[in-house]
Amino acid sequence: MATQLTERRKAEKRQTLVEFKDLQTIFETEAGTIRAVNGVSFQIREGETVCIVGESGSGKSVTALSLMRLISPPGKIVGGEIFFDGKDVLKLSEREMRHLRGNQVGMIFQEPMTSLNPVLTVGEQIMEPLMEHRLMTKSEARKQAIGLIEQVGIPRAAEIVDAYPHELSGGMRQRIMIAIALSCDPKLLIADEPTTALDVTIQAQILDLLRKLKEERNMALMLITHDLGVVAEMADYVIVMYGGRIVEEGYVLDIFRNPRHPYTEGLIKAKPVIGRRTERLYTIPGQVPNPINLPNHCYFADRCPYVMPACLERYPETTVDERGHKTACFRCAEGAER
Amino acid sequence: MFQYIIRRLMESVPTIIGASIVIFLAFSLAPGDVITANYTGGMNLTEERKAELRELYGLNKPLPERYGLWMGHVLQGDFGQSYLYNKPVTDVIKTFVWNSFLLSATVLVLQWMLALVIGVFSAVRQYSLFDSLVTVLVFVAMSLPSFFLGLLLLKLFAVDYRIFPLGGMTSTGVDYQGLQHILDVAYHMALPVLTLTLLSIGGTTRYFRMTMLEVVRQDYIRTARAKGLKERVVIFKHALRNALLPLITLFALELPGLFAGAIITERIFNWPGIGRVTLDGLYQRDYPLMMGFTLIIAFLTILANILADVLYGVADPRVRHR
Amino acid sequence: MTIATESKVRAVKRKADSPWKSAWRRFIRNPMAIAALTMLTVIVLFSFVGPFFSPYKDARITVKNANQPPSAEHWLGTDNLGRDVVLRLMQAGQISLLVGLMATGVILLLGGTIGLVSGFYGGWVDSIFMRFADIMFAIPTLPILITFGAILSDLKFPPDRRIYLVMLIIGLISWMGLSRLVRSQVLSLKEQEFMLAAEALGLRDRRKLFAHLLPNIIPIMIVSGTLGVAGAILLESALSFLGLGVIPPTPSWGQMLSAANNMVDFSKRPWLWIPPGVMILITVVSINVIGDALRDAFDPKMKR
Repeated sequence: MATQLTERRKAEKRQTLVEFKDLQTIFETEAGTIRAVNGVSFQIREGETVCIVGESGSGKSVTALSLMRLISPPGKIVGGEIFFDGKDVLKLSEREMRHLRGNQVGMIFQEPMTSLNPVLTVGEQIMEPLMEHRLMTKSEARKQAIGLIEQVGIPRAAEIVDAYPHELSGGMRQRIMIAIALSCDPKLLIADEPTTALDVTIQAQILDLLRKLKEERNMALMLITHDLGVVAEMADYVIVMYGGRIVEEGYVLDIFRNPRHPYTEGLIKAKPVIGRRTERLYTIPGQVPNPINLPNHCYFADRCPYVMPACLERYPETTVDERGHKTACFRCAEGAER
Repeated sequence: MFQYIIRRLMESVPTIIGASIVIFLAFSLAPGDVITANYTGGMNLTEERKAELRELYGLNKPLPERYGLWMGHVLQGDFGQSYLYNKPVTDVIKTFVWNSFLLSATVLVLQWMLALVIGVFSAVRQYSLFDSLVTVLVFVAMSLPSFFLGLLLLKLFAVDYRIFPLGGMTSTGVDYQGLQHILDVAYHMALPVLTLTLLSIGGTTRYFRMTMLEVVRQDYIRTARAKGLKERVVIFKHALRNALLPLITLFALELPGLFAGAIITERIFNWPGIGRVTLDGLYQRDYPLMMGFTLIIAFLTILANILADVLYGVADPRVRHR
Repeated sequence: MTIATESKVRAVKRKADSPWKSAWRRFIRNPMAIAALTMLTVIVLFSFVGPFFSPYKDARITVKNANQPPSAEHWLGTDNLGRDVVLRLMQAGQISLLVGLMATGVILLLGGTIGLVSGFYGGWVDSIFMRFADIMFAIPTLPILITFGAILSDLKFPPDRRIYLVMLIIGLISWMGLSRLVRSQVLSLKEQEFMLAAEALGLRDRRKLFAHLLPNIIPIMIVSGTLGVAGAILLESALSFLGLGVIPPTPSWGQMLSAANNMVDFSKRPWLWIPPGVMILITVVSINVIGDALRDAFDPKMKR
């Protein structure tokens, strides 16, 4: 407990790098409005790794893309503020925004197979942000690109620089994506399910690489995942999302040792643990709510084992305990203990 | 790559032979021939004289033999004698094909450049007023009957307002040289070029718009934006390069059209091109000319198919390295 | 992410309806399609019902009324035989639309059968048919079409029966595209599980073909067929314009347009040839829009 507290104190001293304030992002579809992100607020401090956890459709990717302002129609950001380094990202001009993307914030995506342009060599693709933001000449950028390919752990960098994406394996391509994202030394790296599409052995390598690079560069990492194993290994701080809202957030040890929200509890229970064999793996009953007609009470109520009358009346407020652990659940609001 | 081209050429030999048989049959089974077409009017030929003439043109032999003879000559580059022009078919084609080429090549360049610009902008601004307008106009352009559009433009610009000439390729009665000649030809080309460009631009614009819309949805376009690249670079470097790949095939397949002439447009504007010549040839039952021309176009079409695949292979790194 | 969300939404929606119903719903929600459908209905009514309301009879050829410009009596004037152009347009419309429809029937029958058989049986049957399609693709359309037209003229068919041959010829040179489409669709369907199931049950070939493949191919046939009608109308009009398709006294829009081949009619009497041109244009645009909307409706993934 003591080490945990000192670590937390160390974290608190750091400056806030990103702050989401009541972000609202919606998608207008034929069938109705999807509130993909519905009032999300949290912070990322410098050099900190924040994991965003949730099932697909919980709004975690949209949250990240909102920060990059890469939400394409029919989606749009309709409310809230996102501060990066003290500036409201949502108020920047398109030009200033471009200066942020790829330069101060790098981003890597889930699908390494389709995220690289098939008709350009990987070298060209790494060189582009260097020439755009660092104003390097072609030959300087090329030299830098080869260096970056080495840093992400690909041998024979001088040859790989002229390869096309289809000539590389999935893991290599994801490393190239990382090289692109890190080319301009960003203060924040967003990784949207960076290992989901990869083989298990490659997953571990990529996560190691990310951790190593993050420490070397003292860069903040916003890691989006649905895999609690990844969270346990990487996170300083955890955000749990459900139906476009944050249901629980806190330091990683607090979340794992003392999950407050029944949904987080379910997620942790559903994760197999070595050395503890049970008859069958736990699964959270029911389905993710329909994103179009979200109820005006707690979204998790119809799957929740502890459902109470209040849960079906309105959406619970977020409560904070003395350790900074935040939960949106009536059971916590009433101070109920298991 | 070289081996691939050779293999494809070998594979297309049966197709070319098949095409030549179909063309030969179509024309030989036609009941009319040059004799009935040309000599039935004023001249009263005896049956004997007709038979003599048929003998002279080799029209009385059995079909397979006639096919063999024709193909034998074709392989030596001899497509026979045009009855209408009384010259070898190859000479007739050589005389007129370049006039058609001039027209078609101008149209091809205009068509592709305009289609690229319009298609890309309409895709980038999807659902905008410009995009809706383009979508509607594309349908109109694709549905225009060539002769009607040609006639309308001719009526409007040459008959009602005498801005452009009624037809032909050069002004009659004057003998311009050098630059003046070029300007004169350009002046005569304006209406046929406008007609043909309007006719062909619809389909091409539509393809550009569709492939661009498909490409800008791809993950790598999001990556390019996430790198902070200028929108111009994202669209013209990252998106357009990918969108052009499928269009290379389309482009290659349009190349034989450069030599095929535009039968109806050339007729309306009295353009001395190969299209008009073949139509005249048809009215006069000049079958050697028709057969030669059709076979050459069929051959070029098959070559263009191979060229399309080769070009695609050169342009797409995923295919190139295989 | 956007795409994922959208498809999810669609999946939720689709569960409720049959594919036909949801295709229909997507179709009627497309304003361009509704406008085109209305336009086409008007043209069909104009051509087939219109003549009953015309005060003129086709038989009444009055040369002294010939070549009159549009007036209150003759809204679009009269032709060189004194016939009312509006009535002529209606009768021509019947022929043009019929030729378009029948030629498409030939395309669907030929292209559909060849594609189905080729894709289903594969092997040498497939090779022969597809090689033949290659050959037909290589031969330029217009020269071969006008050649066939010329052959028709030489055979001296009576004009009223000639239109059937025109339909047949247009069909004979336009089936290849559809046959390739159907073939590739059959090939991909063959790989799907329900066909394997049919195989395992030992169903007879014909039953397999018609019970399982046909319902999946009908959307392609509908879309191609619709677009085919537009193409056939255009081809017929070009052929008739050159005097090689429908010939007088049978009217068609293209045949009416051939009046423009006469310099005097062309420059002095635009009422003779502009109205049929406009009719062709409106008809073909409407059919093309409908065909396109049908494709979007059947295959929402293709949409934009």
